Amino acid sequence: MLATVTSIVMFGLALSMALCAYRLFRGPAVVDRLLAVDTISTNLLAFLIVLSIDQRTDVYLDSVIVLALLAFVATVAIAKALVWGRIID
Amino acid sequence: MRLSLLVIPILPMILAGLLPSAGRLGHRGLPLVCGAVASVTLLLALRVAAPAFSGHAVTATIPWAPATGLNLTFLVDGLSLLFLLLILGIGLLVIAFARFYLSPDENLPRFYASLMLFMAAMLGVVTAGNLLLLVVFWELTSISSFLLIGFWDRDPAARSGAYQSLIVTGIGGLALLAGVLVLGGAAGTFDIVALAARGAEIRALPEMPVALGLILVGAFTKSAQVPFHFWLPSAMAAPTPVSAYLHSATMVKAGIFLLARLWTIFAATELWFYAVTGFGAATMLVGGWGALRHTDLKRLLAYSTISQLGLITMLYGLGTREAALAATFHILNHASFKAALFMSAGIIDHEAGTRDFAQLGGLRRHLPRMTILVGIAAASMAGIPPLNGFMSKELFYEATLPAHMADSIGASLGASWPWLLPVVAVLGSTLTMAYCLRLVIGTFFGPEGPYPQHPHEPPAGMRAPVELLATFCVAVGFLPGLIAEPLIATATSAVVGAHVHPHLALWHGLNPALLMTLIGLSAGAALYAARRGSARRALPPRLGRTAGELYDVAIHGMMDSARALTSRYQTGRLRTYILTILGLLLVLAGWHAWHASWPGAGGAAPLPARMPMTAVPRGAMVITVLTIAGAASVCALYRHRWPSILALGLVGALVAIYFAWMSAPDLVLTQLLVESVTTILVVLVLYFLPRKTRDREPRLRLILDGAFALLVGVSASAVIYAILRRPFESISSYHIANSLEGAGGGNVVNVILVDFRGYDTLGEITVLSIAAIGVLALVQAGRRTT
Amino acid sequence: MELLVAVTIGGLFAAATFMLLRPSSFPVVLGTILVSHGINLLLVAMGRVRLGSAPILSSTTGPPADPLAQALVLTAIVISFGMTAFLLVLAYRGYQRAESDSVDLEADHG
Repeated sequence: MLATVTSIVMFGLALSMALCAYRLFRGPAVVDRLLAVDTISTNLLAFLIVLSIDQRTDVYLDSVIVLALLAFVATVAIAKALVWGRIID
Repeated sequence: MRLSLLVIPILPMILAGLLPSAGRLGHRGLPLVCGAVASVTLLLALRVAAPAFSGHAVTATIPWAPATGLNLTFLVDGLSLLFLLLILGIGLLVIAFARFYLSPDENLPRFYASLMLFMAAMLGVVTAGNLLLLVVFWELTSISSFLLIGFWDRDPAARSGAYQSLIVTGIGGLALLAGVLVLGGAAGTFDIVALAARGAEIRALPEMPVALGLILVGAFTKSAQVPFHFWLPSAMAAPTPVSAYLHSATMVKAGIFLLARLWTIFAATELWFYAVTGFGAATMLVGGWGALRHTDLKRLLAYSTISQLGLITMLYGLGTREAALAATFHILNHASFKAALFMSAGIIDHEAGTRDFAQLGGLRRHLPRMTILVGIAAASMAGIPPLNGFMSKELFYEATLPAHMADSIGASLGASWPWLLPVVAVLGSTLTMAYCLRLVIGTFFGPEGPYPQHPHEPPAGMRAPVELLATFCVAVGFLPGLIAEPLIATATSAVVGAHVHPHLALWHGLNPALLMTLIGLSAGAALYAARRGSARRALPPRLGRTAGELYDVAIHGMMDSARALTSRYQTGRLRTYILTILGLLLVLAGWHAWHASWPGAGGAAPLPARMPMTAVPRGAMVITVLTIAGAASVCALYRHRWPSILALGLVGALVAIYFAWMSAPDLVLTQLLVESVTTILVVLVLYFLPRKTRDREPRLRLILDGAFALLVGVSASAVIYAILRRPFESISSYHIANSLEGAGGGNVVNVILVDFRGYDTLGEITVLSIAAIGVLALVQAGRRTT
Repeated sequence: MELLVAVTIGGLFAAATFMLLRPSSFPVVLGTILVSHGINLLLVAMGRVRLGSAPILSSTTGPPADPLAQALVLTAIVISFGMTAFLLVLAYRGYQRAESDSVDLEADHG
């Protein structure tokens, strides 16, 4: 039962990433691309967690924490870029 | 075991290592230290080698690489003793001469360091008891003589002369190494004593002609035999002390020494007789001819050296004990008079400011003592009684007579053409007499030349070595039994491997040899008289193209063709390189695939059976892979840069997921971290790079590149699929088994990184540091220029 | 599964080859990054495909995946990062010096 659920969820997350990738490449606005990056990193995070549930292991959770941190910094940077128009100053 | 034998070559070598940093000693201290070390080495050599006087060889062996037959074996017998005395004795005189000859402004530490290195190498050659060790020292003499000949490195002639001698003797050294390897491989040992004991067995080996031929090439290049003789005149660009040392007594005698060393093994073969005698005789005549042709004093001496070396070589080639005795005696005599003559040439150059016969002549009024000294040395070279050169010339004539070759390998030649060798010998002496007269008369007699500077008698210290050598020439002539006989007897006994009791004397009675001497001397005088007054220009015409010109043609041709070939395939276009490398890889892979698929075609080993597929991939995996492929193609095909970078980052992130599928948690973490840093770095650099993306490339090229890239991808996939379906025994079971017990870590990957293969990680850190230093250097260089 | 792995790596190689054949420096650098991704995947795959069995002794039940291949790839990832950084700065300096981002030697230099 659990295996079926995780399979479906992972499939959905992978599909979501693929769709976000399309938005990432097509744009058209910069905001679209930046949001796509943010969504993809969140999806990635979720994917690793579901994979851990599926394989009944905790070895990937370190990576998940690091990814969450990175995603957070990226989100802050994106927000900054949206408000002030530049990332590094 | 006399380990103190090792000290003989090592002592000067240590000094050579110390001298470059001893510039403080100054132009007086440096020769003093060198002379002291050479004297100590000489005393040591005499002490250690005392048994060699009575015919007992002294040996010492230290295993170096015994499995390959290479040992530090040193051997001092009578022959080594003769050469030890020459190298150290003449070396001392040359050091004394250089003390006055070289200006204090020169780079003296380098000069003396090279000189001592050369001395050490020569000592090594003559004391080596193992043929491989001999080759090592042999190469060292080539290198150190290159440094010495090219000492005046601002002079293009010195540079090209040094290169020429290095290339010619270097090629000879390679031939010698090959010959020694063939000989040692066939005989099973490289030990000279062991080889000499099995002479008959070695002469019967089928490999013998090849080995002997290669070894002779090595000996002939070193001793400036035809057709390799041309490097010696070019090497005259060296400072005169170097010529006096290398080109009279030592370097050029190394080849002769090798012939003497191998005499017991090979002298009884026909190849040896015809090759060594033939090339020696040809060299003697070519050298004598060349000495009459050149107008430079040192070049004349160089060609006379070639001629005299040819004489010695020819004598060793004859293969009789009388000939070996004459050759060994002439080694000593030639070293004494030729070193004196080279030093005199240096003094004349120093005093008159020129070495050209066009500007010399009439110097006897300015340099009366030098006139006498050069006269003695030249008379000795010409073989005029009562000097030492006369005695070895007499022995030489006798050895060429058919009566003396009756029971040797040359008997058939002596029977069919009894006049051939004596005529060649007299011809050689005629030329020698003619160039000796030219040397003395052209320099000291006749009208005075337009000297560039007013000549004076040289300082006493500069003349002293010449005086000593000239005295030696006279003393050996009058008292041969006392001075030279014991040394020559032991040396010759060591050469021929049997006891020889020579009787050296001035007067041998009225015999054919004396007649030949008289004919040679008078014919030489007549030849010179026929060309009277022409000492200032080249006497005989040139004979066709010289070997030196052929050398130039060969070297230039090689350089030009190498340059043409390199510019053909080194186009400087990355595209061409990548297409070549990957294309070749595809061809190789395809060729192997062809052979593997049709086992009858190439007889390849059958492949192991296939494993079953691991599992049917899940939908999420398929989608991830498709996204990777899509992102990679976007990265490759998009003409704008931002989508390319974003796609690249996406590929990196998805590769992390792939690692998670492949059960590699550490890789997931590393990949995510590295990917984010890489992306930031790429974005930063993109900020500096030109806005404009790519130039429009021709559509056809893009299509062709795309097709090629697809071919590469498909081939890679096929190969990888074929590999993954085959079973594989990893060595990592050891790591898994020992990780917890041995290293106390459950994460096997981490344990491998920090423990099992910790040095790999150290290497990784080193590589990263180098990359970081490189990045820093590039960035700072950019700051400085802008 | 093996087929999928092979296709992934082949796809990365194809894209990387195409980029390496471009005349300007930026795609060439990106191409080398793609090549290192492909090679890292290849090396991990050389330890053969094992799903759900990380080489951590306390957590796995079945035979673990090959840890040696993973350790090598971990090193390779870090080193390829160092190389990428160097190449990027080299491309930047090359453009700064030559006012051109071409990776080829000019014809008159060769």
